[in-house]
Amino acid sequence: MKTNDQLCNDVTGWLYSDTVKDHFFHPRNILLDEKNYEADGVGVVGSPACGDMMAVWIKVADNGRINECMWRTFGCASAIASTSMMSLMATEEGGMTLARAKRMTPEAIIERLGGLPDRKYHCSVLGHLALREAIQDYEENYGARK
Amino acid sequence: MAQESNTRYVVRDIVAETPGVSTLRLSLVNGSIPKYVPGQFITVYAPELGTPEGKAYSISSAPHEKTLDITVKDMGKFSHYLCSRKVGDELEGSLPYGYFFSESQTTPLALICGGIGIAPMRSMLIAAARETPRRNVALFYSNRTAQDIVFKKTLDELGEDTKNIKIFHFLTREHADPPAINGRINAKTILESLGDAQPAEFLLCGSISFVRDLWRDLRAAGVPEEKIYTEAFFSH
Repeated sequence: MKTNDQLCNDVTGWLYSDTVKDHFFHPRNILLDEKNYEADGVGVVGSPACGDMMAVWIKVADNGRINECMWRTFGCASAIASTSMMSLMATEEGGMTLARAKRMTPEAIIERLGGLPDRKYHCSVLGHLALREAIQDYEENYGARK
Repeated sequence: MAQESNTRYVVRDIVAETPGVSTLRLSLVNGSIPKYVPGQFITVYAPELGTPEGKAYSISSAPHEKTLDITVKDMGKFSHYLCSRKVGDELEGSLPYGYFFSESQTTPLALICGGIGIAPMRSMLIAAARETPRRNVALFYSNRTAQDIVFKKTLDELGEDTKNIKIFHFLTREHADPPAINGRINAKTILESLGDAQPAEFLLCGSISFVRDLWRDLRAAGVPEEKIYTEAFFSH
């Protein structure tokens, strides 16, 4: 019998993996009080009228690596889990360089989540686009490197 | 570069490409073309269909061309609506947006696509032939049958006229006469065709499963994550 994770990796899979459920029920790096958070770069994509909306705030260390990646979404379980994982990937192991973070793909996020149903693919796109916007905002504020 | 909405486009021409695939040639209402980078998309809205969500369509024209083109496969209610537009009709959309492009002007590029995923690749190829003709660019294009190949004449001409552009066709549902290749695109064939693949960047566009499988295949073959760009669409 297939495991839950195997089913999620099938083209026809529709169940959420244990990793997706973990990040949905215990989202990492969620920001609830942005008024008291001073970010180096902010990215917002989507619109509530059209479905999902995503905001990402980043802080960049002096060595040019992302040391904080916070986020909040008006979105579904997949959007929450995808962005939680994205924020983890951006900041783990000393943090990604901005050049490396720009190249994060939905496929890499989905792989780390143990798969997502195809119909939820766009949820992982939203988080990485918001990160991309936050990096662009940072580079406009501080130049290519802080 | 936040995505702007509420842009009005006019359909200037409609070109039937292959059975079920049409190119809509657009301009802004005032006749101008918004700036864009090959690989970007516009989001098109059709509130008359009863849904506020737009759908993203990759731009298939190159920035120097006279119209901004989207190439649409008639595969559902929304795309059927688009393919049914007439010359002179207006469409609501966004300005061009997205990050599906290499920021380098010199790295070799492997453009890998399936079916209607050719749309942004056409834009990149036409622009490369004009702007960076010395850059090595290889297209790996998968279709079910030869009849499904979109932009075949343009691709043939690019392959013949531009020394550094190579075109590789793959057919999965019928026998492929050489130089077309039988079967699905795979990392081994791509890497062998590129020769020195180490400096290359890889851009994948197609259905979610197509992009996912090739992303995994390239990663398993040792291609670093940061060398792979992806653009995928829901197709079933």
